[in-house]
Amino acid sequence: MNPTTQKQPSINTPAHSFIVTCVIGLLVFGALLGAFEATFRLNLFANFLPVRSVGSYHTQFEQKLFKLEDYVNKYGGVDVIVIGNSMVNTGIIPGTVANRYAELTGDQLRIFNFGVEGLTVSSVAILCNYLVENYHPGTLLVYTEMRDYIANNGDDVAQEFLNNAWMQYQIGHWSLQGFIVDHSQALQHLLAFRNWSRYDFLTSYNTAYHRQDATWETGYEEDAKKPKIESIIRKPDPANPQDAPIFAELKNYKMAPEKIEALKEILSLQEKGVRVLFSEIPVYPTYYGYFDDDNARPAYLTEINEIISTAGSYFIPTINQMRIPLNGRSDNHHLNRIGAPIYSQYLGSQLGDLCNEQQICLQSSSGATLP
Amino acid sequence: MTVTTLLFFVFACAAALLYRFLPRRFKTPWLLLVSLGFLFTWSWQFVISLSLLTLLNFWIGLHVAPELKYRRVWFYAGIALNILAILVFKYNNFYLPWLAALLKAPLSDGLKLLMPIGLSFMAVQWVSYLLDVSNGRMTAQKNLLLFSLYAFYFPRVVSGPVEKAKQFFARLENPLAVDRPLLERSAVLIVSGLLRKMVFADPLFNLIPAAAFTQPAQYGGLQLLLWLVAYSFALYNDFAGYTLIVRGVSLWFGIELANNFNLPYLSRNFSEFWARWHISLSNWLRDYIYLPLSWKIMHSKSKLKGWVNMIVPPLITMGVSALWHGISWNMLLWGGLHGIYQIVEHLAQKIRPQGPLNERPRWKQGLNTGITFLFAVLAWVPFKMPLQTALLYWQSLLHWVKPDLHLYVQALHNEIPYPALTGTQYMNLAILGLLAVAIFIDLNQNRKKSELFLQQWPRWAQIVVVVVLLTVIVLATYSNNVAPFVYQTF
Repeated sequence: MNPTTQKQPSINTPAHSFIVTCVIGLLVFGALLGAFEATFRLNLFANFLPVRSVGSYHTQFEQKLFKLEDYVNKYGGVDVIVIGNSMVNTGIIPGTVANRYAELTGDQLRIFNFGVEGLTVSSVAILCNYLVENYHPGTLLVYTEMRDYIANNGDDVAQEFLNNAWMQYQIGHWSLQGFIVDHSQALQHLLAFRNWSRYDFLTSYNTAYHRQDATWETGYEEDAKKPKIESIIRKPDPANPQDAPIFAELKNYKMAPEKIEALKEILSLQEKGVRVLFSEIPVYPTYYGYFDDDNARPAYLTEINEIISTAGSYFIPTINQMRIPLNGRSDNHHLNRIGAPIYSQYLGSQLGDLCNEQQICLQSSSGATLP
Repeated sequence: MTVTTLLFFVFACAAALLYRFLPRRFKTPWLLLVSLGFLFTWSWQFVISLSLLTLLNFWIGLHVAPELKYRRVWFYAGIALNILAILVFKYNNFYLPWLAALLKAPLSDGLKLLMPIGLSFMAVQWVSYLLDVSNGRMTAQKNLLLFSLYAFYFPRVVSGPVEKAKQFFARLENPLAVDRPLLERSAVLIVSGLLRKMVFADPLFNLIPAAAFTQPAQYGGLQLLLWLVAYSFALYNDFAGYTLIVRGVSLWFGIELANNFNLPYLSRNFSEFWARWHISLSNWLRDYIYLPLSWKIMHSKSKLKGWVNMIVPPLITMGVSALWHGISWNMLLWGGLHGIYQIVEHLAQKIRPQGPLNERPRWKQGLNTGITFLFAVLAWVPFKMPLQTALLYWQSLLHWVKPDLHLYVQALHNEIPYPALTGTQYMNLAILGLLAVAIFIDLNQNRKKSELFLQQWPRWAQIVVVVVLLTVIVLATYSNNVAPFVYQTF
């Protein structure tokens, strides 16, 4: 091949070099980012761009993350992180639990609700590891339920968490993308607009904004929905097209081995000095009406108790579901703003009694077991 | 590795740097190696199936020269091979379910894995190569490395442009000198391409809700029209953006690739539209389908040959174009519509002849542009969706709902505060804003009469473009909103 005099298309001679312009553009872009970074770090723009993001597809997860960061900055740390799915999010008021626990034990602990919609044991395992590494809580109170252990259930959510560049960076897989978003506050604020070109952007941004407002500094999100009593007490019917897929999903219920492994992964965090406890939200009995086998739930409880106790942890028994009034539920498994304080009070009592009677106490973030 | 990623540019840049400093005899092998490596990042199976097809076409090409015995047998075997390859790999959705049921075995995955990316583009290149060799327009390529590059050359392997073998080999053997002006031109092409893809095409695609093209009946005509225009511009900017990027990158190796778009929506009739839309494929269709067919008809003894020539070549050509895009009734309808548009134009010209386009009054040219645009946009409906939905979409376009503006009227009279922007309003405003800028870009390119129009902008405006582009790219990097190139699937 021979670079020769082959005629090139004629071009009007430009006044300046476009390549140089590109370089200048790059520098201007860098300078603008630097200026943004400085203003965000000085907290000058925070009120204008209140929503932050690390590029995760799960906006509620991101909100919880930043709330936790703010909480730790404000209170100097976190002692107990309660983690689970949406039932935890709207069902547990950390302040109420902490106060009741303090009444019974004399120890005032800093508790944060990290309930995030759609989490199952697989994604909880990923997050627990991250939270322990980065926020050093003394105790993890993990909420789990039967459906967490169905094969493949929630794997897509776990995979989405893992696919995120920032999360990859957190778990030790270095990437430029992950590094930048982790270290740049300006980018975290700008990323709230990353879906600007999606048709539902404004709706989802507004939802995120309002949810952020509705979420307390302790991570609890108040559910103001009125209960639909009929839907709570309605017995599931396999012939109902709405119920049929759930019946199919729960048929021949069995805990999947990979889910049990995820549970064991959470339990293994005890080796890092974290106390790991488990419990369940008191759902209305119709929630279990989808299981074809009446023995499924007792068998599940036996198995999970055995796994947890073998690992030296403890499964806090679920309180009697009937202690939560019907108007304290928004459906047959979520508690609303009436039910959440009631349950949180019970939970505080359970934890206090556990500490006083069995010496299984919540551990503060310093690592020392407060009596 | 898609052509809008940083990795692609780093890869291409490193390859070009080494290419520049390599001794001459190593340049072609290096370029082939790089191209194979690029294809490998898509799938190693592609490399296998494409290599096999390349070898077969190379071998057949050696036997189709006019002076050779049995050349017609070889030639038809070559044509059959390429058509068969498309049928086997690309249209397996039609026969695989049936075959799988017959053999009681899942078959589809294997074939889909082997289907080379850009097969349709390569198949038409090979067919034109065999035709040109058999007609004596060029001699068969005896260098397997050069012939392989004709298929594998990485900037164009995914979605073209479709290159004529003779021109491509000449450019390979006689590349442009990679000097400052060429690199300047490359930079303008790449930035223009990224602008079209990242700033116009992807956002416009994403701003249209999926339900628009699956359940059109639930929307009003005005809304559907806006989405259709948005889709039309998204499709154009997507493919035009891709072509500009790969042409720009190809210049790093001194190899000029064919242009594919020349402001198609400013066309004043459909003959002009097809001279401006997917130019490399349109030229192929013109040279290897339309003109030979027309020549045959005009040299027949039929008394109706004038009429037949007006109807048959456009219909057949557009039918082939439709089948190239996909075997489906909706694609055939799309092709058929474009065939009919051209027939109607020829008929009108025959009944009431008009002078050359450029000599017509400006208002008439503008009107012609508007009419051509409208009908081209309407034809995208069956291009985008299945036949039943397409018919429903057209029907729903006529269902106009008067926009409810009473809240704004009240606000205008200070009776109530202005209502907050709704999600739908945001979407529509964003679409309108993007369309306005996209149209401005096209008009500016038309006024400057150069695809390098960006180069003629003042520096501050160029810097704004670069900063906006970088911002959009950074945001897109952290979202899942980068749409795959539409023509990548063909």
